[in-house]
Amino acid sequence: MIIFEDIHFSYRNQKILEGISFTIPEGETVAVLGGSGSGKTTILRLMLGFMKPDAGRILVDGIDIVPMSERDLIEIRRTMGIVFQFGALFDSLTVGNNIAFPLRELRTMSEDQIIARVTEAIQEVGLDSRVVDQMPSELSGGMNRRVAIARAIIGYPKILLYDEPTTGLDPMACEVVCDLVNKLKDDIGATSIFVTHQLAAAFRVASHFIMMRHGDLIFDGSASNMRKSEDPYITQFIRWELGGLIDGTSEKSDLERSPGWIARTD
Amino acid sequence: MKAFVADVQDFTIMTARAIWYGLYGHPRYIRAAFDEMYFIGVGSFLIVASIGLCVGIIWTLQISTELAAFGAKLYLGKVTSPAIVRELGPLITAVTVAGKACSAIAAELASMKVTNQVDALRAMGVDPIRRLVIPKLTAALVMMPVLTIIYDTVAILGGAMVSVSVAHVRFSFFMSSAMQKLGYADLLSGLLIKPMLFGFIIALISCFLGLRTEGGAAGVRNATTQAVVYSFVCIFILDVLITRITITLFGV
Repeated sequence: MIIFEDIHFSYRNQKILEGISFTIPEGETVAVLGGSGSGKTTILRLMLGFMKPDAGRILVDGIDIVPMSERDLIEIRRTMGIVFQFGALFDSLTVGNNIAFPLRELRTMSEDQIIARVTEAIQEVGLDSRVVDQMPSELSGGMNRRVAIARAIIGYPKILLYDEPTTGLDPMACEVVCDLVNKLKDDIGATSIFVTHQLAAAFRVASHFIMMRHGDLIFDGSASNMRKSEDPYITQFIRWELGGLIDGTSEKSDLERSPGWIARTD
Repeated sequence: MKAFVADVQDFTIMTARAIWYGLYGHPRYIRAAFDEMYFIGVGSFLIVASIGLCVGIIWTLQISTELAAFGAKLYLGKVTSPAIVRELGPLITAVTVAGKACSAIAAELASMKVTNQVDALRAMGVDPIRRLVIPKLTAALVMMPVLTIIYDTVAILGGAMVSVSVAHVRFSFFMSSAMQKLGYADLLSGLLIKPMLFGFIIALISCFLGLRTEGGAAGVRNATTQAVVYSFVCIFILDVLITRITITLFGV
């Protein structure tokens, strides 16, 4: 279980998060929504301990990670997998070496075991095994993201963090990535945070939604509650993201079917 | 001013951690260190050797003209070797390596930073200083003395060519007088202390500026330019200090 308790965070005298609190039950996938600069990615960076909040607690399985030293955080981070925006694959390594990287760093498995696990992870994300010898620059955007997901799940993480994993992808590739996220949810059962500004992608993967606006948490709840919300920002966000296709009465049915993809980049 | 103080503080912390890992950490990335040695050493060999040859020739040509005016051409070797080994060798090798390796190191780390690759390392529980900085620092510390020895050798041979062909001083006489003039202090300062300190500062400045990059392509451009400029300035300042200290300690 992940708990954010009254988190305040500022950077260069600018307020980024202002007293946000939410809870993610174990095994659940939560989508963090919001426009650019709303503080979505900051939530992930705080989760990883890259930055310390000015105030508040972040509990991961009951342990407050805020006062932890860098050395202790390393152990916590090894229980997490993260898929960065645009993949963040190491461009000097082949795909196979990228995926194997976390296991080689741990040094708890033999090379044969690592190769077997890499092959397994490649199959899990639906890539051809021949891709291992390719360089990241030779991959398409969708394949790049699938390799990043394979690298994130290689160590069977308890927590999976996705930072805008569908940004910049075409609708088909977005759908493949979302299906993959759903499949992994069933296979691994990890608690997941899916940060995105693409509402359609969020509806595909999550049942629990958090909406951020200028550092404030303005919504925390289910899809149906979000649909019922009368907050003008949420209403407008839904309209923008779904391209104005949805009117006030037909939102639920349209969203819960297969929503049209609006693959927008910042 | 506040930003400058913060940068100095961050640089000091990074340097302290790099020294700590270098001295007490278990060596983990030996293969990466060899790759960096190949890049810095083998990659700079030709350029260092060719600059060394040119500087040796130019220096000896200029000096031979002056010495000829006093009828002292036989001192050519004794004047050339200390100048090259004490000063020109370590200084010009450092400037050459800084020009080539600093920009490359800073650009590599800066692009890793802006594409979240450094964050990806941290997220996997890997310390970027151990994984990225230590191999480059080790390579610079090892390869700078090697490159300086190559530079000195080629420069003195270039000087010998001039002494034979222009000043008409025999090769064996030039070389023996050149070697006679060199003492242990010259070798210690010129082949070990200065190159290692220059390598240390080149690697740390370029790594620091690369790792603190922000802001996409413009950030990479700034980091690369700053790494070269700051390294040049620091090399010359450091050279003044080391020269003053070695003259005080060893008299040369």
